[in-house]
Amino acid sequence: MKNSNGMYGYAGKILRVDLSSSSISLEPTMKYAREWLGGGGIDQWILYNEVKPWITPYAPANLLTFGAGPLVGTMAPGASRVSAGSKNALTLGVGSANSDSRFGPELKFAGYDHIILQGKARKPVYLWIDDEHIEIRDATHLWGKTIGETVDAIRHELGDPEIHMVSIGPAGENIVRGACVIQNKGRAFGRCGFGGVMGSKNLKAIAVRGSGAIEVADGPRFMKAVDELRQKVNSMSNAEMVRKLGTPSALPRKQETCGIPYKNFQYLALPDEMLAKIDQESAHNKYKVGKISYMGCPIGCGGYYHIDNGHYAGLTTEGYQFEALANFAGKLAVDDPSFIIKINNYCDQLGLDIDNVAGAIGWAMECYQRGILTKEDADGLKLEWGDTGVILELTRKMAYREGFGNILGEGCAHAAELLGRESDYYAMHLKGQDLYEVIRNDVGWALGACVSTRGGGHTTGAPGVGIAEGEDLELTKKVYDGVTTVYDRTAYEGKAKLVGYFERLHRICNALGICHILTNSMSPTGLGFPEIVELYSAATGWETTESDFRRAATRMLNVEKAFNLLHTNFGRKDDYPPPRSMEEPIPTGSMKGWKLEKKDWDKMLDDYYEMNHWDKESSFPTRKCLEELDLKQIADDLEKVGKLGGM
Amino acid sequence: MNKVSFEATGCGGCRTCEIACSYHHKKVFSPNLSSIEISDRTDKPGFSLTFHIGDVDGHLGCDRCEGEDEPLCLKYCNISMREKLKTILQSELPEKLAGEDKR
Repeated sequence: MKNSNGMYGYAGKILRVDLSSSSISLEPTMKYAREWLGGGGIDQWILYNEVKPWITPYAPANLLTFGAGPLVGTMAPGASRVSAGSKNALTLGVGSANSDSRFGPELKFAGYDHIILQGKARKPVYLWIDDEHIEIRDATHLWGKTIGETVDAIRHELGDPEIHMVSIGPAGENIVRGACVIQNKGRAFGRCGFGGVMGSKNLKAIAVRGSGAIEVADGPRFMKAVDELRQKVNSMSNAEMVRKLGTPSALPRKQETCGIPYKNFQYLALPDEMLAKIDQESAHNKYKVGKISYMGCPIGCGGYYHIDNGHYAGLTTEGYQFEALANFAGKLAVDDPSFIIKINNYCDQLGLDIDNVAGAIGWAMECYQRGILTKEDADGLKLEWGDTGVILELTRKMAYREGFGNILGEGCAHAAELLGRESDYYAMHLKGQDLYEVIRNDVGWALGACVSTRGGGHTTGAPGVGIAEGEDLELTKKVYDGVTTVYDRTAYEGKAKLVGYFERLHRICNALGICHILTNSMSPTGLGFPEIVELYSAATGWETTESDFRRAATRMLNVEKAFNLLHTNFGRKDDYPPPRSMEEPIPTGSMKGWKLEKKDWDKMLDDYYEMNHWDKESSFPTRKCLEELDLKQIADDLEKVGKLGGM
Repeated sequence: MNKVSFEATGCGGCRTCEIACSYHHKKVFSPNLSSIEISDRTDKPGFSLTFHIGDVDGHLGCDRCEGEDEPLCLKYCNISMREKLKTILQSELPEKLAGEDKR
């Protein structure tokens, strides 16, 4: 039994909602699926075609998309993830985000693969999807509520405690540039400022309940692959650590490899006494009270935390990712583990992206340290490193656009532009979006983040595997296209190729809905193309090869690149790390004295563009490259604006 | 008695068991066609587990995975909860059902 639109794996329908006219329409997913796979693949093609360059992120004509790929809602390991897309509020170029979710499977069970939102409601509303019943409901009474309050109120109002949703907090309502969308009470579509986009549409939430089914084309073949892959995931070299501590388990290794952005990236390792204070084994033993995991995942890396004493006593919340440690213990130098739990929850409740919060506050604290900012600039607050009260107050001010928070809420790049005083050197961002990734300690990771189309991020090409240790070298070489320098973090050679591998693997995962943690993103023992191809072929009934997947991902990459070229002035100059990375040697830790070199970076960028068949000088794709990918339309579009690569 | 509930100690609420169960019954993935149901506790972090014994509200009654090598809910349960689920399946569920029969 295929679904009503003749597809396996997919739910079959795309739901389009125009909030200006309150009109709702459907189109078949089949229109896009063979070419764009689903999730982020379909989202980005729709955005490329329908969001014109003159449309601003907060204009009603901008789109906001959510896409659950063809493996979401099935037994495929880790396939719970949903992609979101829109014009990027921070870079004004291409925007994408991705989150674990209960929302995604539920959306599929309701019969939809994607939701495409456009327009702007006249008053606050939320969207209620209950199988075929679609309703735009009044949300006036929800405006101003935090994420947790919103989720509880909607579940109460609809009379079902198991309804899943995405929503925005006060930050999104106030159109803060670094506002994000939160799934249920604590999983973020973090990057690119989609909370403000949703707020600009007067859309508070999307709630969904689905009672349908997803069917795969070849059940026995699919389940055989599921069994094999679950076994493979359970024997990944990092499986036990991630199962126990989640992504914060990376902390000791990040410290050893200079991967922590301490005091706004001035240092790349924590002082020893501070590392001991925020030890994650102890935090886990002290605060963790339960597990949380998502559909299909054999690992289950999430946790619930409860604080029973101190300033934040009584707080019970879903846990945090390594990013929270990097942002608040790292960038802002806080040594209190309970604060990490608190601030992560506080940002979630207000609907703020933690990377943007710590990016902006980190910039401000460094400016204060250097006398560029004074307390008079900051509403009387002394911006001392590690001051938890100041950080909480600035976070609140960002969400409500109050005083100095109104500037910080713009993100560090825009804030530095507003302030002037040569403070831009301390604004750590890529293409205008606050940076989380440390890019001075691992050349491959740095390249992946710097060329990322959405402006930073490590989920669209940055190889996290560089810091793995004790892995089988033969297996490593075999998995990563023959690259032999995977663990040589200071080597430039081979890194363009390695990034090329991950730019494709990550896009396939983002399209199909698979969590990167289960893949070979962190260890060569994880899932790679061959395993994911088998799941996809068995699920959809469309026999596919690894080379088909790589080609599909290359097409996605070129669509994103073209979106950036049509909407912004980005070019080769924007694929460099922030100046600090090339000017300041690493001051402490195992890599003390090392720094990125411009001439080596130049050569590596040449290799990267050449690999993609993009013009080395401008970074623009060539007609030949695009036509070989059956993207003639994009070549024509770029030619019209003079942005077709020569080569 | 149409359903029996248990505290799901160690469960992370991934609900993979639900769609494994519906696959056993109908060869599709659908929590609504499952004999097992995972519910988020509202009073504290954690989940509870309900077995549907008879076919009610669209849910299909548990047939102890007739024809399978082992119950699929157990096969696909996360390691953190598997022992607990094994105990429920092997002793707690039969005890509750036996108790119900005697009444």
